[in-house]
Amino acid sequence: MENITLFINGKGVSCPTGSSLLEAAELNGIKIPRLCYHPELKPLGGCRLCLVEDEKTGKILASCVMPASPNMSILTDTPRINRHRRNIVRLMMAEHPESCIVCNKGNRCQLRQIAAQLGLGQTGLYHMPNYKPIEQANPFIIRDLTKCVLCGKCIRADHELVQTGAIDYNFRGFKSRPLTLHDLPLEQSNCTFCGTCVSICPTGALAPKNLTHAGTPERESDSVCGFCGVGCSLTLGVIGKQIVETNPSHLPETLNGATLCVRGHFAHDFLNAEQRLTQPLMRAEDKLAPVSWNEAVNHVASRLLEIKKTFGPQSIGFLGSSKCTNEENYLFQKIARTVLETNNVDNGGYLSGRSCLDLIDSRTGGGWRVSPLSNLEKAESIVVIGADPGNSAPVVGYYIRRTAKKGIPMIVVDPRRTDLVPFSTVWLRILPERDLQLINCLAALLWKRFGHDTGFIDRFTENFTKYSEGLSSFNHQRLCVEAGVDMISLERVVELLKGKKIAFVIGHGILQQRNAARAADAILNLMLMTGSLGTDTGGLYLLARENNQAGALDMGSAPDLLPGRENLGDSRQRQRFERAWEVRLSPDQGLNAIRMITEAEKGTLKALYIMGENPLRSLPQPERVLKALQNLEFLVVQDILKTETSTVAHVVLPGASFSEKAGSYTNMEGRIQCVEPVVSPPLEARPDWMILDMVSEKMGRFTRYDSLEKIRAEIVRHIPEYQGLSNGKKTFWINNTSKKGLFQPDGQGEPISFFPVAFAEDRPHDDNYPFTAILGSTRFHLGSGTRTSHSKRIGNFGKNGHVEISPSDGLELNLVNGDRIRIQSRHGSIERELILEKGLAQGLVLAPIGFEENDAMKLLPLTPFEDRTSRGLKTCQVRIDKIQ
Amino acid sequence: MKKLTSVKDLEIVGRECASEQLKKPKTITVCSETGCLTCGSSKLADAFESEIERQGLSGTVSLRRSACLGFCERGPVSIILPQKICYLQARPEDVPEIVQKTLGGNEIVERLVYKDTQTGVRLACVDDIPFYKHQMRLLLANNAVIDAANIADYFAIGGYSALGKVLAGIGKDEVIEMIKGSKLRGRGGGGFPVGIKWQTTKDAPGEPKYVIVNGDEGDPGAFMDRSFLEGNPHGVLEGLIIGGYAIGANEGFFYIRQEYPVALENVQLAIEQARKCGLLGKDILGSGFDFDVKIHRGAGAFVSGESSALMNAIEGNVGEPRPKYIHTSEKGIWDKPSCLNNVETWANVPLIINNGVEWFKGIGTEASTGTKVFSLVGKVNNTGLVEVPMGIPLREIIFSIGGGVPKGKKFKAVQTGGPSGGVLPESLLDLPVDFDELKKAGSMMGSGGMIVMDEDTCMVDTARYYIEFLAHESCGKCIPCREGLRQMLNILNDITSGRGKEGDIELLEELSETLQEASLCALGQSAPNPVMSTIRHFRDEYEAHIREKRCPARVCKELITYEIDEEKCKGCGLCMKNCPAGAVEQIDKKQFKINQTKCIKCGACFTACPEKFSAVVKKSGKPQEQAVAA
Repeated sequence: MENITLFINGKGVSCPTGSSLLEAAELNGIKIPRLCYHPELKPLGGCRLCLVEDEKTGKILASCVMPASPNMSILTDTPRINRHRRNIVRLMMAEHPESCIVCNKGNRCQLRQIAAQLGLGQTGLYHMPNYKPIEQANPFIIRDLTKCVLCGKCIRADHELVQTGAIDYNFRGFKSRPLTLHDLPLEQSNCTFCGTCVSICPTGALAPKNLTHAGTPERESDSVCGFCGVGCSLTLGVIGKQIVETNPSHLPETLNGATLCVRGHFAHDFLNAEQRLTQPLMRAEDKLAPVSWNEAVNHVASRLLEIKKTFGPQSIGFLGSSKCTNEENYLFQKIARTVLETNNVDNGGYLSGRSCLDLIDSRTGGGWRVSPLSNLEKAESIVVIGADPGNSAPVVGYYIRRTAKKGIPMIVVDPRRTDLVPFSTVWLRILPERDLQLINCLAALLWKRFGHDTGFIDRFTENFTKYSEGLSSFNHQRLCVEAGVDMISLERVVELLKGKKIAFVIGHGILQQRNAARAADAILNLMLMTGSLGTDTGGLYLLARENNQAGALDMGSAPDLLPGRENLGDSRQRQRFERAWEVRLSPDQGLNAIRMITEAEKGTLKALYIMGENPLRSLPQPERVLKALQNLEFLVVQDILKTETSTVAHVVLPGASFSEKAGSYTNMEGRIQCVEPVVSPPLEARPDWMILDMVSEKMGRFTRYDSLEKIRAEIVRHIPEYQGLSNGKKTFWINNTSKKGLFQPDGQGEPISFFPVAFAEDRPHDDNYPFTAILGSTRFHLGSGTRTSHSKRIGNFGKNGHVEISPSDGLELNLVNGDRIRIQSRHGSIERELILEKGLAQGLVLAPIGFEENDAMKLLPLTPFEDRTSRGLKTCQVRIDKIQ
Repeated sequence: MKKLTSVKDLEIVGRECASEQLKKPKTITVCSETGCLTCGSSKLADAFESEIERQGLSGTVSLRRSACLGFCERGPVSIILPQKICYLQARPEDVPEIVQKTLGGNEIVERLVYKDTQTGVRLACVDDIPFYKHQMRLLLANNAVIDAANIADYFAIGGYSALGKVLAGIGKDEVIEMIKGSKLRGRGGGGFPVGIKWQTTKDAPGEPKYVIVNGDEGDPGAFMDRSFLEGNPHGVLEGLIIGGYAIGANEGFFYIRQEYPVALENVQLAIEQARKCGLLGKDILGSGFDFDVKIHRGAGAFVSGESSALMNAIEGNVGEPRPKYIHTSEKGIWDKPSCLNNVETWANVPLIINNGVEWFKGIGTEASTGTKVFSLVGKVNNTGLVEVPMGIPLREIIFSIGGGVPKGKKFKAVQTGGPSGGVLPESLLDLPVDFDELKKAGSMMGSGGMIVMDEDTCMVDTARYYIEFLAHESCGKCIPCREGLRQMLNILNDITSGRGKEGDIELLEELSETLQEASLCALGQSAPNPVMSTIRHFRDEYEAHIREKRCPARVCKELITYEIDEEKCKGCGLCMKNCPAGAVEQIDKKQFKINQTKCIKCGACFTACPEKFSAVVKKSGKPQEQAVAA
């Protein structure tokens, strides 16, 4: 962009064309006071504090809205301007209640800061606040609108950033306030409690409800959110040794900017939960009793070596965590593979879409991995398929809404009316798990309507002919019927997508379903055909449930993968690590998370080391899992919280949460973010990598690392994607190592192959279980809810695990809102209260996960994905009965 | 009315309508605007209708319910054409006589015609009445011959001929050049050169373009726009269509406040008629130019008269102004170039096209051309709608046309420019009324409200009234306006209720300055005008309120005293009977006294005391004993 030159306070400065005067000044290090300005929001020009004087005309201009133009001469600090600024702040102070002493905004209050800068104490004016009762019925946000200065930031953030539309200006003049429709309490509006307005509020008008502490945090430090795979930047507020407040970080160019979601903002209560593990525990006479670290670590090391010696390496399993850092995951799998010589290592991310990831990785050589969410806003079109980011990854949802609001075609493919549907251009309401049929049909129609990108296909791919022949053979009508959508809508989608690059946002509806790999295959084919891969205006976005799901796999925390996602079966790679680690590596694939349980059930697995996972809550069939765990000779659980699983362990090792340790996490975009500890772990708890370091030292296989840097150095040495870890940067992207031409700067390299079209396998319908239950996540809980359920306010708020069916089904079954029902599948049953939900199609049941010990998992069978009989983890056939 | 497909059609229909009207030699025009309607003009017109029928004059006399005839003070006004005999305040019971004498014959009903207050001479012809004699009625000229509900009336006087001329062969640029050449300035108050605005919108990139009529007349006491929209909507519509053509807009908006039901109805009717006649819609008069308009009803916010706020409202958003560093003429409704002009501005356009630039420039002053319509109200004998050439001295409007201040009171000040205008004292009465002179004197032209005040008006209270109105109407978006006005209101409340203190005037001045320079839109920037101009011209009154705790005009309740003059009191006791507070006490048989601690200053005793005694007196200043106690 071209630069323009102007004069600010007599100094020649330059700024890009289109900058406002305020931005121009800011860019050149000149600070102008302001209150209603926020770099991410459209300027309002309301507070009038950013006034500047045009030296030539003497005019007074609001710098936040005045575009800079060449050769302007601007003064930012004249007596005249300052007089007005002081008067404006005096007016604001006169309207403000005198509750500064107890206001939790404290010295962060921007009104107070500006008043202090201008040296204002007494206003000399009438004190006349516009009193409004404090609203604090909801458990998250306190609204004390008497303190509102009407800067409109909350409203603009709501409308422009998160696009919820929960609040707007009500009334006029000094009575004007940002309120919900009809001034209802927030909980009765469509507010999602993302808290963006709270963090952006310059005064104490909107404040987070602090459960443990009142007042301003003593200090604030940056971190990265430990919940979903988006990996938002946070600022954690600390009082003493406790995290008491969470806000979006103020760092520049973060992926979430000023936004967060309800979890990120308010569900970090688990950090201070009573159930935090604070000292090592060992089972003695059927009870877990505190022991010293030395004793615990010695016991773990000796027992594991003993079992290895007696039953062989295959009898030990290592179940790691997609929530722990890259460094910890690396160390974890290294201990398993080198000290105990087993490939029985996996992580909780196994449950969310391993088969899809493997397929996409192998077809693209991993080249798809870097997919910045910011590119979503550049997309030419978006297809959201099997994804409900509004609940599972809200910040991704904001991106999609913002793009759709600009008029970019956005297609939602989902059996449910997700909160993206109102923003969508077309909603294709497919039948559950018929995504493959739909994608096939879409591809076939696009091919028929010449919606393919010949240049791209010729340049970067191979085997298109075979694929296109497959497409030509489709019967569109039949596929449409199978998918459950009408031809007219589909034709409309084809018209919208034709000639455009498509950004695919894929969620657990695809990742966890039975046809996952085939659907992913079809999507990839479609992306290649339309030239949507490897470009900023298209792209592939796979939602990740856990914060380090991608990193855990990168570190080789999987039974079939070595660090760098190298295939264990590849002898060249195996030998490379054998040389590096000075061990022999077994070529045999180890046990995955589910098979570890089934092998323990059979008695062949004798010991299990679980780090940061809670299989009793996250796996199907908890009762079977419990029996399996009880069947073990030795169970070590390393965790931050007392969980269902830790209570049955032989040894419990207290770890540290994301806020209490250093390390790096890799998010769904392929962004690696390093964090530093904000507080120290509670009492004797220690960072997980330190614990692993102690245990491995005790087992005497390799010397202690003692520092994170040494582990990082080793990661850098072995995993080329993680070169960035060595340069001390806080945030960086994984390196591209794909050999595919598409991902090379010069476009030279291997072509990506089209796969022949795949067909769906339908499961036979069972009349005994007429309903299809969709196991969906809600925005209040993450995954199985181990951590989020420790937040009482999250647990007590809103729908409490209610099951939803359509009103017409309710009518047929003679059920009404609030009825208690039993949902029964072939594998188990749960009991819940019922809600009739208009957005749901007939024949569907929505059973939210994360509630009541996540007992929805009872409905699913405990079958590994790769098993032919696997039904996936997303849906199951159920029956509904009323409990009298 | 059939659809007109060419300019020729238009000419023909104009001639037809004119000759149609000539078939009936006499016309009685009854003003049917809001002002006269409230005085019963509807019943009057009904009476005329049936009486004409009854006396068998239907063949020779036509009845017209017309646009505002201006002389609202003496409404209902009726004019008999072609003689131009003007009857004022006629009642339905006068109708048979009028019909018989004036319509049937050529006699004048003397008692109903204007009587000169000074000379006592009765003047029957409109043109002789001083109220009309001193005006220059161009825009309002045709009001007596137009029935808003009937497009034929407009055709008969050559309506839409300007549009015809334009479409028949005046180029777009030429139209804009004409408007530029005429030096027409925006009549909404800002006085921005209209031609330049049009040019900017025409040249601004972006399609479609919009033209907008700003009919959100919100100034208390102003009703110019209302009478245009109610009385001659086609005149405004014609201007708008010409503007749309010149600017290259195919869509227009009438923004009319909901509080003007008659205006809304008439404009709606006019649009429908114009559409039927092919003056709106596709291919207007066969020129290939498409244009149509919509009406947007305002929801009663004063600030929505501000152009950007008005456009926000049309978009369906809150009517709040937005910063206008990029003009609305470039980025207006939905960020498209939008040309907004006041009702009166649009109404001037056909005049300029029809009569030519030189003619228009010949009226008014060098920098302010043409005429301006004012609604003359307040303490003046002849209130009403007044049209004068720019540059005429205030004195002429108030005294020659308005007939001066009633009841022999002394003229004190005149407020121009609506609530955010200013107050001008007697010393400035010879000020020529144009955009620049008024601004120099600390007031402004505004949209044409003109409120005359006599000696009984307290200037502090006047300022307080306007600030109260503006504080209520402030949209709240920017802090100086929202909070500054509230503070100023509080200070003025204090001063008028006797709690004023040293420094208040200076604080008012300081806040005013911040409002003027730091507010976002024109509402805030001009809001301090009433305060600034009253301080400027009547500082002594403020000081009297603050220092001496008295209201010289004897208006501010807290600062006046009612007393009974012992000499004059005849002991009738009416004051005691009427006092609602029991404050009048009887001292002896013939003597009454007001207990000042009980007195609530309602003035009931003052009114009750028979005029011939005038024993109750209103004094400036707090009661003596109270002042001592304080």
